[in-house]
Amino acid sequence: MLALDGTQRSDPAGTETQRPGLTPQHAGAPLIEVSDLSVRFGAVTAVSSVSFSVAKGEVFGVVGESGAGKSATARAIIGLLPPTAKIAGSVRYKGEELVGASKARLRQARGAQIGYVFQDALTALDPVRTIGAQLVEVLNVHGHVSRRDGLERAADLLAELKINDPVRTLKAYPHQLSGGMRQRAVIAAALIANPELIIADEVTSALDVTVQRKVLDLLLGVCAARGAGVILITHDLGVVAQTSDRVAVLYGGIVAEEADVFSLFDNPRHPYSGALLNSMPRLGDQGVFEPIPGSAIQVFGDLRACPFADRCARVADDCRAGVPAPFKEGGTTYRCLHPLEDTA
Amino acid sequence: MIAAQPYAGRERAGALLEVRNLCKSFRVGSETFTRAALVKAVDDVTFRIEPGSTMGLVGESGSGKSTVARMITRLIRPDSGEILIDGQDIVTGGAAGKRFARLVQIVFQDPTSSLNPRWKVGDLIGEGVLVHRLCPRSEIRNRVVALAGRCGLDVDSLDRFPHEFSGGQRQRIAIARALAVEPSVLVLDEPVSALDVSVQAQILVLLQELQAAFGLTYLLIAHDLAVVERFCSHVAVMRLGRIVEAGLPRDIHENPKDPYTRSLVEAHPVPDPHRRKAMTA
Ligand SMILES: Nc1ncnc2c1ncn2[C@@H]1O[C@H](COP(=O)(O)OP(=O)(O)OP(=O)(O)O)[C@@H](O)[C@H]1O
Ligand SMILES: Nc1ncnc2c1ncn2[C@@H]1O[C@H](COP(=O)(O)OP(=O)(O)OP(=O)(O)O)[C@@H](O)[C@H]1O
Ligand SMILES: [Mg+2]
Ligand SMILES: [Mg+2]
Repeated sequence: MLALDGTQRSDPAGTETQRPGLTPQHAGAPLIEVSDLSVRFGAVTAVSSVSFSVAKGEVFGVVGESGAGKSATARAIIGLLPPTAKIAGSVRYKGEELVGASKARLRQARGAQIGYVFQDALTALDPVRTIGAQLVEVLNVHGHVSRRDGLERAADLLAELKINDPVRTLKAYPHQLSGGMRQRAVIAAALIANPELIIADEVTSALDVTVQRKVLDLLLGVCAARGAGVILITHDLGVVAQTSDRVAVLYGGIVAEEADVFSLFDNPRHPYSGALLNSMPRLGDQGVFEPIPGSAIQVFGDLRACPFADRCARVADDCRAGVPAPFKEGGTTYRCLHPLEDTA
Repeated sequence: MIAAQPYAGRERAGALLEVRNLCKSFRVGSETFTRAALVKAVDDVTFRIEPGSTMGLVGESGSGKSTVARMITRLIRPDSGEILIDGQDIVTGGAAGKRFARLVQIVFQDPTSSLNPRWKVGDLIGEGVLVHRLCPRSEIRNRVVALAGRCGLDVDSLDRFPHEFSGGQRQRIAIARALAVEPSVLVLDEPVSALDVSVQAQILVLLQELQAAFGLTYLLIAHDLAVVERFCSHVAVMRLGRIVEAGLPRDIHENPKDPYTRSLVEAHPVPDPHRRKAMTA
């Protein structure tokens, strides 16, 4: 029996189950706590006082359109912004402040404690070294393993990521792999040292859904088995719906809405969240695409109004009087003065 | 300025694209190793796209989709097989083949690495016009402005550099650049995979409008069946270098015959947290 996605509301075949929620032993003190984080590139404000935290064993989804500040937030967390960027606010990893930490400390945290896969990671692979050499190197930065053991571990991981021929892939140079194979090599590099927090920025965009599924299952498995936390940045709401416990919707550098995944999909409160959910392509739809009218904004200097005001159907004068403060209602926090109706 | 408009005076630009028994193998690992493995990236691929229509090519990662695209756009040479544009072989056709080859242009997934960062957008779009001498030098600027406008870019974008644009805008630049040489066939290798959903929809709408206006023939490589279903009149599914299934998008979605196609339909992430799929473990 086939599940015809998006066309079939009920699920008589019962092929789908819910992922168990957080196991109690993993919940508790946050693994990472971001408060009031702002990032500027010259006159451009990429991130404006963003706050969220991620607990052990939790998958935290970050969505939002191009330019919303998702990658800038991720890079700020692990200290990988270009020197031209100005950061303010705080990022605490298990209580330890990372903003302003020494280069050496950040280097040590990356890979061993915080594994990350960046959006442009495809171009970051070293073109003149084999995939195998690059994966073993990640292990060697954090304690010695023999080349043989390292390669074995790398091959196992690539096989888990559904690469058909892991041994050939380890011997290959990046240009000899397809787009999706390269993307998985980079994912393997982020996971191979068993980090406690994984930041995954658009990691499945070049993968077909069967491989995507595998990669996501692997990430969820790491969360469940080791209590690792995951920050999953994506523009694919289907991916978020299938994986995340909580979600932040970014727009114009602010967290427009943060909610548990069910509240967000069932009862979005910020008009931007609503529009984003409506623009999703679903299997079974035909013909028309429904883009959100207008284009994404770029924020210069301090944000002085709701960044979505110009594209918002519910806009009123007070939306332009200042940035709406976060408002908490049930499991949802949103920054909007004229929210969508509460349908819960 | 009529003369500055692309496709001026042509009623339909679309051409018939036929690919017959296409094959390509690669050696993997260092070239000097005699034990380097041989990979059959594309293995006896045959299809045909009618003028002005769109065929979707989906398939597992590494199944050979981009390799097909690169052969059709003459970025790499096939080991064997034919690629015909309106009946003219562009691989072995000599000078005539070369002329026809210009009629096929490509748009890649990653607009960042396919656009030279040191060139201004206007020069990037105009390059092909200049190289192929498609209009007098004095008219190039007009033509570039018209094309950029058609693709949703304003005039001041032309004097800026690609890194100053968002992913979606860069893809518009890449499309304008491909259209500048008046192609009949556009190969789109995952043109929207790297873009967020709302920008995806904008680019797909743009591509549909351009097709309606110029009658272009499209080969769309994608891994998202939902996109293919809305966009294509036909779909072919590739696996391990071969086409394993082809037909109408609706049939493939509702009644997939090949096991891989079936898993593609089943694994599609449902945008509904109440309907999580069990882990595939
Ligand atoms: N190195 C940089 N120099 C100048 N501006 C930058 C730089 N990096 C990002 N920006 C700007 O900061 C803003 C946020 O960018 P960011 O890359 O975080 O967006 P994003 O949400 O990750 O988008 P996408 O979905 O396209 O990856 C954008 O306006 C962008 O132009
Ligand atoms: N230059 C090359 N040298 C060696 N092998 C190559 C080269 N280019 C491609 N290949 C191999 O050919 C096969 C097909 O690659 P191709 O890029 O066509 O896949 P694809 O279907 O586009 O995959 P994806 O969806 O991941 O982009 C892969 O196994 C790849 O490793
Ligand atoms: Mg990004
Ligand atoms: Mg490809």
